[in-house]
Amino acid sequence: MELKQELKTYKRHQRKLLKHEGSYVLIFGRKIIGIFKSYDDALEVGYEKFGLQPFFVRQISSTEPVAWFVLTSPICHT
Amino acid sequence: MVRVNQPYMPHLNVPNSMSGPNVTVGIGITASHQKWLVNANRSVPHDVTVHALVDTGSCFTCVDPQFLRPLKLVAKDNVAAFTPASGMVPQICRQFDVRIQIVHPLAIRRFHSVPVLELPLIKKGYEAILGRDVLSECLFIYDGQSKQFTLSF
Repeated sequence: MELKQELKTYKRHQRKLLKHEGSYVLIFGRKIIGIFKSYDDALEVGYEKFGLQPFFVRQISSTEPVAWFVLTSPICHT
Repeated sequence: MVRVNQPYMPHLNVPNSMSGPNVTVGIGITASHQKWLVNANRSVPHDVTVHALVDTGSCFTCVDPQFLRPLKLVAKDNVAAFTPASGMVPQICRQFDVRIQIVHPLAIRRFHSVPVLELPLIKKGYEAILGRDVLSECLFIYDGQSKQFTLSF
C-alpha cells in the first residue's frame, strides 16, 4: 500500500490533530508538514516542497474515510 | 423553487440514459501539479473526457483507473471502499487530486481540486461517478416522469 508511513504518522498524531478537525493535514514520511484551511492550500505546499514524490493530504476527522457504493447493473428502465 | 438575486447558473437539461443521469466531464491535473510540472520542464498531460453517472448515493467522486492513468498522478491518500463485490472486506482505493470540469456549450464550470477515488467501474458499465463532494456545489433535479434531469452549476 502506498503512503503506509504517512498513514502511520497520521494515526499516531490523530488525537492531537483533532483540535483542527475539518482542516487538511499535509504529511511527508514521519513528518507533519502543516495544517491548512483547504485541500487546495495543502496541495500547493505539497507540490512546492515534494513535487511528484508521494505526500499525504487528508481532511482531519475523528473517523476514517469510508466509501459505500451500491452500483449494480447500469441497465435500468426507471 | 424561485431563486431570487442569485447569479446565473449554467445548467444542463439532459435525457436520462439507460444507465441513469450521465454528464460529460473533463478530468485534468490540479493547478499546483501543473505549476510544478511546468517549472520542472516536464510535459503536462492532456485532460481526459469521461461520462460520469450523477450519484447522490456516493459521497466520493470516483473514476475508473484507465481514465486516471494518462494523467500520471501520484496518490494522496487511501480510502476504504465497500462495494457489492467487496462484501464486508473493504477494498482499499487510492485517492488522487484532480481538476474536474463539467462540459457545457456556453460555460465551463471548474472544480479546481477534487480528491477522487480510483475504483474499477468499467466492467460495471461506468467510467466515473460524480458524487456528493462535487454535487454539493450544484443543483440536481431528477425528473423521472419526463425521463430527464437538470444539473445547474
